[in-house]
Amino acid sequence: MSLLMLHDLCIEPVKAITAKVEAQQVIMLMGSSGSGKSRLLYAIADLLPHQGEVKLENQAATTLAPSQWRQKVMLLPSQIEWWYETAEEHFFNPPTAKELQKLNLCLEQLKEPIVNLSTGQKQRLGLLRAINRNPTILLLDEATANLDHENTLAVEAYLKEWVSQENRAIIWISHLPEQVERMADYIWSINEQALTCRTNQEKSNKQLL
Amino acid sequence: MNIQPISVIDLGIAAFLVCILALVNHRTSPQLSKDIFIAMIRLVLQLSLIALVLKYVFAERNILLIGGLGLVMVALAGYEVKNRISTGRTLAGTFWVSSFSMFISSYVICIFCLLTMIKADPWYHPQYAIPLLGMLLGNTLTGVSLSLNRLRDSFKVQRTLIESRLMLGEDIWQATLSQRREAMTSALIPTINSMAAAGIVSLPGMMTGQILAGADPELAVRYQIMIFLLIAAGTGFGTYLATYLGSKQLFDDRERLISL
Repeated sequence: MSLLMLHDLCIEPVKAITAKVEAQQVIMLMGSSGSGKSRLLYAIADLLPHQGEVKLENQAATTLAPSQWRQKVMLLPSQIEWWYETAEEHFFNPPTAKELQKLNLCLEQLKEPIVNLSTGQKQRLGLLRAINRNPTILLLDEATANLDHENTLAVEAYLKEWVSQENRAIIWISHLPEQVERMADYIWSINEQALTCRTNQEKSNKQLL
Repeated sequence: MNIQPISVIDLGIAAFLVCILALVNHRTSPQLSKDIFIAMIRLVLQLSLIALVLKYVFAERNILLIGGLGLVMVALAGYEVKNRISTGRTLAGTFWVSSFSMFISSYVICIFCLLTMIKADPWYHPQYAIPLLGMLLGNTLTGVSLSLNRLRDSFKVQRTLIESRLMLGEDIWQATLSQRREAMTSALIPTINSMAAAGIVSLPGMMTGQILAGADPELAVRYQIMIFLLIAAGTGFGTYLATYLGSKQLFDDRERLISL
């Protein structure tokens, strides 16, 4: 049984998508802008009306309360929103200095008013906030769009570690070919209204070596 | 104490003042002066009509008639709220959301007051029931309309923020807590302010009317206090219900924000 299954999922303009994601896999999702990548993630998180079915551990989205489903299948949008004064208030269990360090952050930034933080800091804190709520699947919409190279690599390392534990998986929209090569177990691309799936040669070659 | 009668000519003089106002405004804002004029005509026509209806209802003293008149008032109030919503597209449910909220809060409070405080014979005596319901509805209408308007505005402007919270696995009540709180606050502030200013800055209309009509000021004040408290409760509960139903209305069955 796969961790996540998409069955005949229809979102404009893409035709019926049937695909599966196994535990501990990273799927990199590619496609030109307007091809429906973001809409696909929104549909998987059940935030966009769609036809077809999404199942997590053989449980259909519609059998769970919407909030329960979205807690398990969590979408992290490219634009991160904050509603309290400081980042810390958004966490159920605020992260430790050690955990923050992995993403080049520190405790002071957690207590700083959000408006004083840079876009890149907010993006990394947004990732921590999502993971803090303990999702099973992470749907990332350009999670490193505002980061420099060093921080991009830190986020990638952090997510590799995260996904390797327990029953977890990531579907990640990225425009960076190097990032796709570094991270992907499988590459999904949306071309001419259809989704195609292939293995990532680079990564599997490396593993063979 | 006897009441000085007011003739139609006296009313005409008062209307003349408003006509001058409309005229003065005409050059800077023709729309405003038109609105003033229409509102004045509506005031005169609606109140003259209600005078006829009240005369009839007072003579009949039929509970069904009084209840029915109340329902007509609720429906008109619901229609008014629906028309006052300025943001986004018109939703079919808005009339029902507002009418239901106003119906529950004003009917329950009105009946409660008639039975426990006024205790007229019969308890539904139209002399008390109709003005009480009217004042409750009028104020609840303002509150409900303010809260629904505010809710619409903030749901539209803060759409991505609410969606972000939904993405983190929050349900619609957690995700819209601050928007609902703001809507409640903006709806109740006029009521709170008028309670706080009563007697110092302003003399409340109902009490003034009673005194003008020759009633004992002390009794008039007692009535006014009771009415104020009932209005606060009625507006509060009505607004609470409208905010609840109005929020639910803006999500679909899978808790997604509908487009506004």
